[in-house]
Formats: sequence, structure tokens, C-alpha cells
Amino acid sequence: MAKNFPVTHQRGFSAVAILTFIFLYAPLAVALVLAFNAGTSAAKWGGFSLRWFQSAANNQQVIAASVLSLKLAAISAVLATAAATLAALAMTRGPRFRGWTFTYGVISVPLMVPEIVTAVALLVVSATLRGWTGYTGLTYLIVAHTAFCVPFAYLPIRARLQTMDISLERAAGDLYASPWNAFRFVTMPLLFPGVLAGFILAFVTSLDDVVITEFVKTAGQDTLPTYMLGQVRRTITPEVNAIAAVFFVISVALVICIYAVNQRTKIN
Amino acid sequence: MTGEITPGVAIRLKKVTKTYGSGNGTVAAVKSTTLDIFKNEFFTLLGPSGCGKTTLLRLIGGFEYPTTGTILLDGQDIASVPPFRRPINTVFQNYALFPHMTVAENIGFGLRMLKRSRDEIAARVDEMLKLVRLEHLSGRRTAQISGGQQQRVALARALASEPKVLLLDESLSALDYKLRKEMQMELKSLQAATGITFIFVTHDQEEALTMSDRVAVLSSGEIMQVGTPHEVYNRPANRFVANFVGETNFLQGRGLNPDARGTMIDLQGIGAVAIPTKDTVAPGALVNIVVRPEHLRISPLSQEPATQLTGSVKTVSFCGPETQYTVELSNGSGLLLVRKYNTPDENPSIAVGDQVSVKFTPNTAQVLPG
Ligand SMILES: Nc1ncnc2c1ncn2[C@@H]1O[C@H](COP(=O)(O)OP(=O)(O)O)[C@@H](O)[C@H]1O
Ligand SMILES: [Mg+2]
Repeated sequence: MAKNFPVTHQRGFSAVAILTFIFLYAPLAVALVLAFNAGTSAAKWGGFSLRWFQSAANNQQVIAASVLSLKLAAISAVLATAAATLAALAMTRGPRFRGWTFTYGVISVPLMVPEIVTAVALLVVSATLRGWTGYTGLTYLIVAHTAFCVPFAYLPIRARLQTMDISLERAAGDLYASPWNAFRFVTMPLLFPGVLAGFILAFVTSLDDVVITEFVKTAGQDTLPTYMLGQVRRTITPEVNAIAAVFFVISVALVICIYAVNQRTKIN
Repeated sequence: MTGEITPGVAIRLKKVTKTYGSGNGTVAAVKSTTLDIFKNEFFTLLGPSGCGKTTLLRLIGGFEYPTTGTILLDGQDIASVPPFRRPINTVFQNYALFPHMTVAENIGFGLRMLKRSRDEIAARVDEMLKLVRLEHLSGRRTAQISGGQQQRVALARALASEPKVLLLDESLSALDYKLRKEMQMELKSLQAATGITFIFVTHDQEEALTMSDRVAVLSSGEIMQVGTPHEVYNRPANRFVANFVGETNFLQGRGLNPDARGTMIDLQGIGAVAIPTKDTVAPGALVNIVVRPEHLRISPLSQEPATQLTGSVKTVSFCGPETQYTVELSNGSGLLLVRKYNTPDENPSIAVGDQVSVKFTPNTAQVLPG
């Protein structure tokens, strides 16, 4: 076997690697530590306390924003995952149709379009619709989040379908399973880890979104990220850090979930 | 539906063709094929890779639809019956066991889809587990059992719902030699025990001969010959079959005027020989004489050179029960393969470079058009 280029043995490799990790995680660590700050500064340590967590938990605006964030993420992620699952099934299991290659590419293009462009586009659409209908509810945000979450949900689902052996579904058909039963008893259980990963990815993406939400929302529709952005513009207290810390823990927990599911249900 | 019940016939193919693709890039995977497969028969489709075996099987299983022609199951046209309503099951080449189910759940899947009662399924699964001797593994995931065991689960799963026909696509090809021999015997006895029609696909002529009641030899989407292993081996219908099924020697000859002994052939290097034939051979017509290696007798060159082939030994290989020789013919018509059974006390008396004579009894040979 040919030896690989020994990249880890190059001069300076360790130094660069360590520096990268420091730049990646040190700010995060500082922000997390300062969440436990007893002082009122988001930059200067004044002893340990949980007061900012309490303050955040008692802040009606934070509670409202959290509820909205979770509600929005849950609804959008469900819708996006459903759409993405159908799309992935059509692209990997359905017959080739005219424009198949085009569709294949176009589904994931939004991942590469700068978010600000998507945000402006969605703003124009929702503002126009608002003008026509007079409706100012949450639906605009739900539609916007669903739309940009679809590609995130789609990729893991398609990846899973592509590695799934198609002869399993044929075998189900051979053994008297109607197309629906083959889907229900064979395709879906095997696809489920992909669907779950897609859902979590979509959920986290929605939960995390600032730019699109900021553009599409109307007054009183603050999600946690847009609320925090608003706070940071005024005075920065460790309350923001406390919220960020909770956020961080939730996100990490969800990512660990995906990882665990993938590990436990590896095909082969 | 056209009813056309012929007792004893399980599957009837009538002028079935299958063409893949359209326009310029079409592939005729199956050319007009007419074939009867009988009930309770171990039937084998034999042919080289790409000759259309899998396609034929998929047509019968309902995974593909014929371009033209009809397929009858027990006399009923099954063209419009989707695979999940055909009482025909398949053992897939890669087994296709459901990885999220246990061995027992895999075996019971078909019956569950047929909405049989829980008790019936459980009883039948137990029975099948016993049949393939896997009772101790019923609770295992399919990833936790060996290749040979997976093979048996796939068989049990396909047999559990007692299909009328079982299709097996190169089912043994992935197994190592010893296990394969074992499974050949096991398949054969399973077929006998269940009385289900087996349609087995293989490219391995030895496997086909060992296991089958009848064999269809295919080449480029066409059936070359259908017959018992004995017929296909000893009475090949054409040069392709003679060549593909077993090893063989072809000798060039030319038809002579028949006389009292029957068909006379002028065999290059020997002269006139009488060889029994089905059809008459026109005088002057070019023919191939087919002689199996084991029907040739090799001996050191003797003094009476009149009616024998002579040559020099090129290779000698000892293969256990037999020794194989290749002999370069002195009349320049190429190499002959000769097989000779060994006896324990025998010393190899013929070595590379020896001049030898090779004889055969004319009625072991066969005449094919040239
Ligand atoms: N789905 C398909 N589309 C196009 N050509 C195919 C398809 N399946 C098989 N063929 C072609 O049909 C011929 C027969 O294939 P197959 O039935 O798989 O042969 P075998 O099983 O004997 O190896 C081959 O030339 C193959 O390339
Ligand atoms: Mg094949």
C-alpha cells in the first residue's frame, strides 16, 4: 500500500492545529463562562452566580421569544422534513423525469446562495403578500423557515436513501407487500435515521437563524436570536450569555443525537 | 384472461421478448423465447454472463414486463399481475435480508403481508427454521450471522409462503467452494421435500448439471437447447452448447457417401469413420465431430497407424481422480484434451514430449454442422 502524505508530520502542523482550536472554541468558552458572571458586565468577571440565568428565565420577552423560536423551529422542521423526504424519494426511487438532473442540482443550491439574498427575496414576497392580504401572522415566518430548511433536511435523507439497498424494497414486493406496505415496513424503518437527522438539522438551522427572520418578521415576532441581536445593540449584560449558554447546550445535545443515531443504525 | 391449462406445466413462456432502451441504444436481452417449465421441477437457466438469465427470471417474477409475448402461470396470463400478487418468490443474488428485522421476522414477513394469523405465522416460521436448521438463530439480526446462514434465511423466507415457483438468481455464487457444494445438495433436497418448482440461474455448468432436472442453455438472449443434464452434455444441439457445457474437442470432418454402416465421415488424419447421426450428412458437407476428453483413450504410439490420431504430448496435469493431457496433433489440426481416470497403483507412463496415439469409439462422438 502506498504511504499517504504524512501531513501530521509537517513542521508547524501541531501549532496551526492548536491555534485553530483556540480560535474556534476560546470565544465560545469565554462567553459560556461569563454567563455565570455575578457582575453586570459581559466582559469583566465579577464572581460566580446564576443570577443572569434567573433574570433571563423571569424576563417575559425572553420567554416569549423562546416559545416563538421553538414553535417556529418545530413547525418548520416538520414541514421541511416532510417535503425533503418526498423529494428525496422522488429523486432516488422514482422514474427519471424530464429535468431530473436540473432538479437534482437545484434542490441544494439554496445552501450556497448567500443568506442575505434569500432574506431579501423572502422579504419582498412577504411584504407584497402582506400588502395584498393584510394578514400579518406567523405564517410568513413559517413558510420562510420551511423553505430554507428543506435543503438541510434533504441532504441526509437523500444520502441515506442512496446507500440503502434497493433490492430490499424489491424483496418486500416479492414477498406480497403492496407498494404502500413495502414503504411502511421496509423503506421507512430503514430510512428513519436519515429522516431524524434531517429533522434535527432543519430544527437547529431554524432555531439558529437571524438574517432571514430579521427581514421577514413583523413587530412583536422576535425569536430568541433576533431578540438577542436587539439586546446586544443596546447594552450588553451577561443575560445574553446565559441565553446563549442554554442555546448552545440544546444545539450540542441535538447534534450528539444525530451522531448517536447514525452510529447505532449504520447500514452494513 | 386466456385460460390454457396444461397439466404439469407451471410456467409457460410464449414468444417472449424483452428489449431494453429505445431508439438506437436498444439491447435485445431476451429474444423470442418459448419454454415450458414443469411443476415440481428443478429447472436451471445456464449461460454466460450477459446472456439474459436475470432478465428472464425478472420477467417471470414480474419485476420486468415482456416487450412482446405472454407468460402463463398455471395456464393464466400473468402479464397484468404485479409482483406482490404473484405466488412466485425470489432468492435474491445478495439475499436482500431486511437488516432491521430478526431472522424469524424475515422468514415471517411474506405471511405477515398475506395477513395470516399470528399463530399460523409463528408455527410456519418454526417449521421453516427447522427445515433450514437455524432454530438456534431465530432471534438474531441478519447482520450477526454468516453468509451461509444468510443464504438459508433467504431460502426459508422465500419458501415460507409456499409459492408455486421459487426463483433463484446465482444464489450460490457468493459462497466458497465447500459451502457451495453443501448448499447445492441442500437446495436439491429442499426442492424434493417441498415439491415447489425451482427456477435456478447459474453461469456454472457443473452446478447446473449436478442439480437440475432440466437445463436450458442460453446464449445472447436465445435458448440454445433445453434438456436433461444428460442430454445437454451428451447430445449438445450445437457447437455453443457443446463448448459451454463441459470441456470438449472439436475435430474437422467432411461428409462421405453413406454406406451400410450408416453416416460416413472423412475425419482429418484418420480417414473414413462411421458415426451415428440423427440427421443425414450431405456428401462433401463440412462437419464438426464433438468428442469429450474422457471418451478419448491415450496410449504410447503403436505400430498400426491406420485409424488413429497421433500427436505429441504438450502438458500432463494430475487432478486427483484423473490426469489431463493436451496432445498436439501431428496432422496440424490443433490440440486435443484427453482425460484419463487414475488407478492408485499406476505410474504415469506418458510424459511431456512423448509421441502418442489417441483413439475413440465412434458412437461416443457426435456430428454437428460445421
Ligand atoms: N435494466 C437494464 N437496462 C438496460 N440493459 C439491461 C438492463 N438489464 C440488463 N440489461 C442488458 O441485458 C442483457 C442481459 O442481461 P442479464 O439478464 O442481466 O444477463 P445475465 O443475468 O445472464 O448476466 C445484458 O446485455 C445487459 O447489459
Ligand atoms: Mg445475472
